[in-house]
This record gives sequence, structure tokens and C-alpha cells, in this order.
Amino acid sequence: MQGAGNRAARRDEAFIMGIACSIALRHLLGRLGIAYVASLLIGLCLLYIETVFILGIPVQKLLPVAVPAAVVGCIVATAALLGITYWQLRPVFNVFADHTAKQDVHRSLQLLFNLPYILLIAMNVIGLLCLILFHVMGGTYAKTLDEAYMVDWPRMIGIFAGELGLTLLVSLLLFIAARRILQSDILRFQPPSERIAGRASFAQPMMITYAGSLLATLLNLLQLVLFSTAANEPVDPVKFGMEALFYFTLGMAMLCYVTIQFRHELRGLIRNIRELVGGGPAQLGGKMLFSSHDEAVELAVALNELQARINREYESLERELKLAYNVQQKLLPPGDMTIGSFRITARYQPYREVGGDFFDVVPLGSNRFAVMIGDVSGKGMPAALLMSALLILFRSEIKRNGNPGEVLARMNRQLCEAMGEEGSVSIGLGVIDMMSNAVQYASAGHLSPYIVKPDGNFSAIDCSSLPIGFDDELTYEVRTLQLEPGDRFVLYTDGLIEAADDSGTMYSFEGLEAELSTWTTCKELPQMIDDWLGRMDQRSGAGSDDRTVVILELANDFCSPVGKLGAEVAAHGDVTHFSPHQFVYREWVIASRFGEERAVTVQLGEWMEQSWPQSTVREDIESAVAEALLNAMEHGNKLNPRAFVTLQVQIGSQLVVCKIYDEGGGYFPRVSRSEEEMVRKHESEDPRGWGLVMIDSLSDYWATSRDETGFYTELYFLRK
Amino acid sequence: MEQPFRLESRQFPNGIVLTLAGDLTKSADTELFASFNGGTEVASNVRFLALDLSQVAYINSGGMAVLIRLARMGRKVGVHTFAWGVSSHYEKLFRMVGLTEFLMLYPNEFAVIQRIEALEL
Repeated sequence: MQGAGNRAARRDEAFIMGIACSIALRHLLGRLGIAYVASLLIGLCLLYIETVFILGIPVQKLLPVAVPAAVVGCIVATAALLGITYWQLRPVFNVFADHTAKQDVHRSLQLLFNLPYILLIAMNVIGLLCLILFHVMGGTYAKTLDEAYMVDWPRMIGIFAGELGLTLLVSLLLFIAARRILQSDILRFQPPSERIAGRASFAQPMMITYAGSLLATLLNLLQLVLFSTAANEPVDPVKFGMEALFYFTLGMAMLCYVTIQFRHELRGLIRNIRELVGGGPAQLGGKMLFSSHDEAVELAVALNELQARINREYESLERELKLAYNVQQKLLPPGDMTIGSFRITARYQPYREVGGDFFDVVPLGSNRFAVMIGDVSGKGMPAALLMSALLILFRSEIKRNGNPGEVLARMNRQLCEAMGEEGSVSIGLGVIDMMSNAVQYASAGHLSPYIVKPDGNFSAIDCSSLPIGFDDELTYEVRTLQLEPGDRFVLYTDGLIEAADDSGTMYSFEGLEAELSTWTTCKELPQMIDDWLGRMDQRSGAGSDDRTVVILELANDFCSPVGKLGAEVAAHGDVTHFSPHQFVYREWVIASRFGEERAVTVQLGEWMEQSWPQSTVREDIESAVAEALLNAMEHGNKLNPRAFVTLQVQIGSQLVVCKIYDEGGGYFPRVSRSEEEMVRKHESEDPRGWGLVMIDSLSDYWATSRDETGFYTELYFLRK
Repeated sequence: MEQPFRLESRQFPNGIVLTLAGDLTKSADTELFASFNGGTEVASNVRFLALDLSQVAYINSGGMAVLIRLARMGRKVGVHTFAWGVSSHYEKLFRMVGLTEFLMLYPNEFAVIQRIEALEL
């Protein structure tokens, strides 16, 4: 049924296409017909001017025979030309309707290209036949009127030459008009193919126009000379000069038109070649279209092929770059992170799809983490490759412990061994102790970071040294910095400093410091950084280098904005007076080793004691959270000591919410509250599963889920 | 912060007293069972197992599982298991996991001894 439906639809479509093509053919024939009539009328006008004004034959003498004969001749010529045109174009329009095999397209194009030449020849042949017929019949008719009538051959030849010259001129007009009118239909079969290109020469139409117009001028001048000779009169130099000038001008105009047409196509070709040389996929637009089939088309076909090949190369390169960009993005940590009381906001804007800037944030045990920023010299793919390798090297080296100076020294040695002093990379590395809020900072040729105070005062941290990758014996100085609540530690790369505006003025350290001094508001840090970088983009556009900025903010206990009143007191004390929507927040990160949960639960217990002084749920929370941490270590992180478990706790006036994140793929927690299950569990030798029983019994509500941070177990406790 | 697990055992007529200290977790399993089995081998007429948990700072689910296994094993061979020195929080947890079905809780050693004497009469 469906097949029959499709066939019917195809039939209908073919029918509609047939009608559309028939309309198009009629439309084209109409336009060509107008051109034929117009050309012949111009010819008639010129014949009239020539006969009456140049040759001086009175109109009365022309009216009985010559004028009707000329009109009939024009009608016959128009009909014959339309007939030839219809015969030539019909197969072309059938190809339009039939969706076309390639060879049909080539044949159609050939027919369209040949039509102006056929019209040129046909017009001359028809004109010649009409003229012969007219003069033979005219002679016979004159002989029947006057038996003594003798043909005046010089005069006759002169008139014939002039008429032939006009016929030639009309045929040239037809040739040019047909080429112009057929252009849009020729373009329907584009782009041009190898088989069509080079079948004709670009000089052909120009030569025809030039030779035709020259011949027409000569024939008309010959007519004037012979006519004057026959009348035994001298040739009138004014008439001779005017006629010569007129035909010369007409001939040159036609030649110019044909030349301009060719030049237009040639210029298009040159423009496309220039765009190709300019490079970039945006410049590589559509293929070149041509309405002729000469050497220019041959060039266009070659150019189109070159363009297609370059487009393919670009597309492939773009795909690869996109892939590389995705890989690079996945290697970098998230842009917004919170570790303990620290909030980290990092933004990375590569100049091209991939870049050589990088940053990283790595938790180190339960109370330390590292923040790193780096800049590989150079841009693009080589820098991106080195950046990826260094990021992985950094993660492995920072986990091997040691202070930032030692980590940089080890990375330096490895880079020197691998790259042989060919790669130069600047790195700034800070290790933060969350217990003391101290930062151990070491720099390998990186720009001085800033510490920005909450009131907008800032200080640059000088720590001069060479980048890594120069000398494998280098050591790196470590500076210890103390952060206070509200302080912001700002790391950045040179792409930010060197960003130039339209006038070429760099953003410079002054620009950066002016910006830092405005960081006094209580605005959210990520929003503030995004606004700043947005302004940078407006000022400097994409720039010419990667831009990276990493800001570490010591926020202390984070309070939701609505809970700011009294939050400072509550962070270390009773939260009883909090409204229901106010919460105090704390976070711990621990390695996946049994026993690590003990210290955290004790700290949590102490915090609970301060926050809910007379509550009875403290020990319940401690036990339930310890069990959830153990589950995250064992089932989530599979006891991999390099994987971390994050505990986030929010304490409100009546509710505690604990979220325990792991880095694993997640698991289905199963707990049954039935008697049978408990008996089965007691009899089982498998000691596992009691943790969930405890969580289920101790918490008021619990659930597991996943968000952008990872898989988590969420526990809710009501105040009791 | 983590306190290592320690174990002492002593015997009394027809029974053993195990004094547990530190953190009771899954890792206590080996030591605890070795000690208990050793005791039963020495005196096959052991009928009572008393656990002193007063010095235990922390018990997690692994520790609970160890205690359940110990008490269940005792019951299978006809040994009564008693415990004292358990905080109210852990008492609640013992009840939650059904440990109190295998283990009788008493406030102190004296109460346990009295109960054992009553059972022996």
C-alpha cells in the first residue's frame, strides 16, 4: 500500500515538474522571442535609415514592395528562429523535469552553450535566402513591367552588400542577446564539470563579434561606395565618415559587452583565488558558477576542486580541534569548586580551539589542597599537547607529596629530560593548609600572584625564578602566606596582562590592579569574575593569547545570603536563633582509607555540640555520617586511597543536612526493615550491610543521588 | 584521632572476660576471634563470655558485625554472652541491629557476675 502511495506521489511530483518546466520553457521562449523581434526591428530601422537617408532612395519607391517584403522577411525569420530555438531547447527542459543523469546534464549544457552560435548561423542563412529571394523576385517582377529592364549590377551588389551587412549585425545582436538570456538557465546546471570545461575558447565570442562587426561595417561602406559609383557621383565623405563611425561604434559596443562579460567571470575567479589564499573556512564560500564553457571554466573547475579539497581538510582539522578542545576541557577541573572554607573560581579562555594555559585543583588528604596555574610557551596544538602532559605529570607529582618547591623541581627535571630544554613552561603552585589557612607558594617563572583584602587593598607576591624546562638543576623558593577570612588569592596568566585594545594599549598590570582594587563588594565571586572577563572581551576581543585566571577565596563558613545576619556568631556557636531557612556550612575532604572518618566525625560532633548545645542527636549524626563515609570509601571509591570522599554539612536551627560524595560510579543501597531480613542477616557470615541499617535507623531521612560533583548519600536529621 | 584496638582476656569459673579498648571496627575481627577460640580450647567447659566495653570509644558497623558474629558463635556452642560498659547511644545501636538478641547488656561487671551466679544455681 505504502509502495503504491509512493509511486502515486512520484507520479504527481513528475506531473507537477513537467508543468513547471513547460511554463519555464514558454517563459524562456517568450524572452528569446522578444529579443529576436527587437533585434530584427533594430535591423529594419537601420535598413530604413540606410536606404532613405544614406542612399537617398525615396520612401514612396520603397512602400509598394520593399517595406512589405522586409516585414514579411522579419516575420519569417522570427518564426524560423523560434522554431530552431524550440527544437534546441526542448530536450534541455525535459532534463530539468526528469532529475537527470549526468550525461543528460552535459548534453543539455552543450545545447544551451551552442544555441547562440546556431542562432548566429541561422540568422545569416535565413537573411541570405530572404535577400536572394527578394532580389530575384524583384528582378523578375521588374522585367514583367518593363521588358527592357536591365539589372544595374554595381548598384544591385551595393544594395545586397549593405543588406547582408545589416543581416550580419542583426545576427550579432541575436548572438549577444541569446548568450545573456540563456545565462540563468545555464547556471541551473552548475557547478561546471570537467567534461564541459574547455570545449570552447574564451576568444571565440570576442572574435565572432569583432569579425562580424568589422565585416558589417565594410559591407555597408562598400554599399555606399558602389551605390555612388553606379550613380556616377563621388562618395560623400561626410556620409562615409558618419556611416563608418556609426558601425565602428556599434561594433565596439558589442565587443565591449562581450569582453565585460568575460572579465566579470574572470574577476570572480580572481576573487575566489584571493579568498582561498587568505585562508579560513569563512572565506571558502560556495563554488564558482560560470555561464560559458571556455578556459575560464576549466580554471573554475580546477579551483572548485581545490576549494573542495581545502574545505575537506578544514572540516577534518576542525573536527580534530573540537575533539582536542573537549579532551582538554575534560582534563581541567570544574571552574567553580568549594573545598572546606575555600571557594575556587577558575576561568580558562583558549585563544584558539586549544591552548597552552592550564590550571588544576587537587585535594591532598583531609586538610590540604593544591592550586596550580601554568602557561606553556607558544600556542595552538603543540602547546596543548605539552599542557596535557604537564597536567598529568603535576597530578602524579603533587600526590607524591613534598612542598611546592620540591614538586616544581621534580617536574622541572622530568620536563628537561623529556624535552631537552625545548619546552618552557611557567607554573605558579600553592598548597593550602585548611587548618591554618596558610598558603605555601612557589613560582617557576610565573607572574606574581596577588592577595586582595576584603577592603580592596592588594599586595603582589614576588617570587622570582626561571620557568621549568630550562635547567634541570634549578631549585624553587617557597613562600608562606597567611590568608585571613575574606582574602582572595589571585593567579593569572600573561594573556590577561597582554590583552590589547583596538588602539594597541595593553591591559597591563595597572589595569589588573585597578580591577583588583574594586573587589570590595559582597558580590558572588563567580559572577564577579564572569563580569570582569566579559568586560575584558569587550575591550580586547579574543586577543592573541590564552587567558586564564584562578581565584582562591577564603570564605570561612559559607552562609547563605539571607542568613548573613548573625551568621558570623553562629559559625562557631549556637544556631538556635536562626530562622528556618538559615544554614551554616562546612566541608571536609578525606582520602578513602578506613579510619580517616574518625577525625571528621569527632570534629562534626564538636561542631554539633556548639551549634545544638542540648540536642540528643549528636551521637546519632556522628555514627550515621561515619557509616555513610565508610560506604563511600568502600562501595564508591573501592578503597582507592587516591580517591577522595567529601562531606558537606549544613546546620540550621532545626535541621542538619549531610551530603557524602564519592568519586565512584555509584551503587544501589539496599536496606530491608523486615524481620525475616534481619534474621537472615544475623545468620549470614557476611559482615557487610549493617552500616545501611544504622543509617536507616539513625537518620530521619536519607537518599542517594548524583549531581555535577559526583555520587552522594544525603542524610537529614531533625533537632531532638 | 583513631584509637587502636586492644584486647585483654581473663578467665573466671566457667567463663572468660574479654576487655576491649579503643576503636571497635572490622579490623578487630582477627584478634577477637583468636582470643576467644584460644580460651575455649583451654577450658572446654566455658559457659559464659563477658565483654567489658567500657573502654571502647567508637564502634562502627564493622564492629557491630564482629560482635554479632561472636555472640552468635557463642550461642551455637551453648555460651551465654554478656556485656557491660556500653553507652546509651551504642545500646540503642545494639538494639537497632538486633545484637541484644544474642548479647545481654548490664550496667557493670557486678551485675553480670550476679546474673551468671543466678544462672549457675
